[in-house]
Amino acid sequence: MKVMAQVGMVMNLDKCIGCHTCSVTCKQAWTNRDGMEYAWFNNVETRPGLGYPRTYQDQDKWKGGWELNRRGKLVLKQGGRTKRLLSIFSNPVLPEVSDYYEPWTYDYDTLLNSPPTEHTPVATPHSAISGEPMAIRWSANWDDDLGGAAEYGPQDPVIKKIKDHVTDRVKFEFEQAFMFYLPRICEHCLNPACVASCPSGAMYKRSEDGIVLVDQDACRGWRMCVTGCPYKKVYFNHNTGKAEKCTLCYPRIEAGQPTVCSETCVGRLRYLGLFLYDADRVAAAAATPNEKDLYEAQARPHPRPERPCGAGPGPQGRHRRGLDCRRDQVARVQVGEGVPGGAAVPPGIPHHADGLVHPPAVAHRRCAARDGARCRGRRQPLWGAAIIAHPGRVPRGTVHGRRRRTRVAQPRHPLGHAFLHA
Amino acid sequence: MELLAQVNGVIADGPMAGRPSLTTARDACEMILALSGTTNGRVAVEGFRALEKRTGQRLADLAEDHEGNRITFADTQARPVPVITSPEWSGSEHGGRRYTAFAINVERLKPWHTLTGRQHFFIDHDWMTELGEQLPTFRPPLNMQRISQDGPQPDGAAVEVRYLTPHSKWSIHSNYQDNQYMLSLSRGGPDVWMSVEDAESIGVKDNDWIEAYNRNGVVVARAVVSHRMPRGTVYMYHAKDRLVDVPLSEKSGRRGGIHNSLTRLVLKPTHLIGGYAQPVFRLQLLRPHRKPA
Repeated sequence: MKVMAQVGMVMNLDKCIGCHTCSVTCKQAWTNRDGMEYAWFNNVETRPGLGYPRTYQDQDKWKGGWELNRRGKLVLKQGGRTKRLLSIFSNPVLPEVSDYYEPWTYDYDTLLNSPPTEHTPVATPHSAISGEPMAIRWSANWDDDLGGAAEYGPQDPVIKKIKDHVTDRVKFEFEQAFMFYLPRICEHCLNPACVASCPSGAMYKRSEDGIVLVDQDACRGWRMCVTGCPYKKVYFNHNTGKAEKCTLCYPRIEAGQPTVCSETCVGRLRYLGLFLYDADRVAAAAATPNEKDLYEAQARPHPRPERPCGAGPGPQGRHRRGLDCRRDQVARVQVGEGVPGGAAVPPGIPHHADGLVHPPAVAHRRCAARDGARCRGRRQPLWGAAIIAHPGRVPRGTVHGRRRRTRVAQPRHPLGHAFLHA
Repeated sequence: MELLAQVNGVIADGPMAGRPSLTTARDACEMILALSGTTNGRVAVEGFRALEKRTGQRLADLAEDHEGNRITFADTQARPVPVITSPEWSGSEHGGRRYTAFAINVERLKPWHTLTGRQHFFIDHDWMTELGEQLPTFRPPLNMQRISQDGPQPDGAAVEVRYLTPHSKWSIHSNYQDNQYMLSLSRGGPDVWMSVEDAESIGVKDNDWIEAYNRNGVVVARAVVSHRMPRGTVYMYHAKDRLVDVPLSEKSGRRGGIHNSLTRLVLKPTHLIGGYAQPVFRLQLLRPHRKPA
């Protein structure tokens, strides 16, 4: 039993209006740099559609994620160690820029500084890669709102599977038209294939909050992570030669703020919170033999509130359930006793429409540290640790270009460890 | 007027001697800002006080804290300035709240500009009765080709369609969407949505260049071919600029227009109703229009 905390995000797809505010604000915050023009840590796709990069869900083609080998053991779909070592200098299954899209900019200067001409001036597109004039043939969201879907929709890997195995009634005709928006960020997986496929050990999942990051000092640009990720949410920076990805805006999370995409979401459909899971059960759940059982299996590492918590009889001689049980367990996790069999209960962190993280009020029992004062106690409250970076607990040299040691984010609210925003 | 005279200066001689100068565009802007309640707190408060007398409702407090404020042209140049809540509009921005239409009618019980003072669809104007339009009614689309004598011209493949210009999901009012990020998330330039059937009939594939024309003008854009469009109808969303990635029109040899280059007003008698209940006839807006205060 190894109880870990994970900052998680739930998106209510019914509320997404496809406005792309999340994509734009994320891009402005994280990927508006050279070498990352084509990268959108957050993107919103119209389904059915090809997605970004195109057909990324077709794992027969892209070899992302995991599969079971003949002995029922979980292995990377892109191959075992030997195979990956042999292909390390020429990874055969990498999406090319054309699979994403060729990013462009416009010669806006023409509009501002044109001499008098017979016709009004026009800014023409130029490749952001070569600088040459280009014709735009694909974009980060070409098939928005079913644009071109009659042509591209049938190539959607999900549609293909549905047609092959379920029904051939999916038609791309006016009367049968259907669509929905799918906003996507890095999943910060419990068993991340990108981390497992990194030959340099540069990718890691933070122990305190489960955020998956790339150590920019350690990354050697092998790009095995790009292949490993089944969602194609690790991007290669063509300028620095290193991998980059969604950071779940960890500097903001550490300061008690929501991610940029959550905060700017117009439909307020993103909910951030913490949940606990048993890291020892993750591999077994992922190795479920029948993939149709995976949905159920993935719930197994998460402690469930309806189960008796094993905390012994309550005041009325009954097993305590739900909140009472959780409080017991949280208290024990805090003092380092571990959670007994039957596991803890999802903390049920209250969230509000503002998308802010609202950690439950966990008093800093040992040291009663306040106002961001350095904790002198030996043990940290689990949830406080997940939200607030404590000295020495954040891996060094985290992500994104600049080599810097992570500074400890100080909680901004006077209550420090407790509620950061009411 | 005195204030405006101070800002703009006065005309020295002639029949307008002593009146505020309106000789430059800047003077005209100052004039508008000085006379509107949204930029001159005193005008707003006076307007609300007059409205208080007519409605018996308390209203002036919506602008009183700005009574001494005035927004000048220089203010608008320096930064965007929030307007003052004024009886010229139906919403309230008092205390920094966001504008919502009809907030004053709902919250302050200011009657609507209808015969009953309530919201209603019914108009018992004689002309409306005659045309059977006292209540909103479905009218099938007009045969524009027959009315306008416009039609596909024999040069090249063409299909006749109904041309609609809906609001795009990515722009509000004058807030255009032609910035690099939004263009990277769409087609990268002006586009026209058309049905698979219409596209096939003229041999157009997704992303091909097309020209839409009628006798008003011509628009050059790329086609977005989608089964979400019904046959016979095309969309060109609002506020696509012709400043980004668009060639000269082959048809005219000149720069094509924007979405509104092809639209036109079609008048019918009910548009001319004015001076009765909520319909107002104004030369700029040839349609029933909410009467301003």
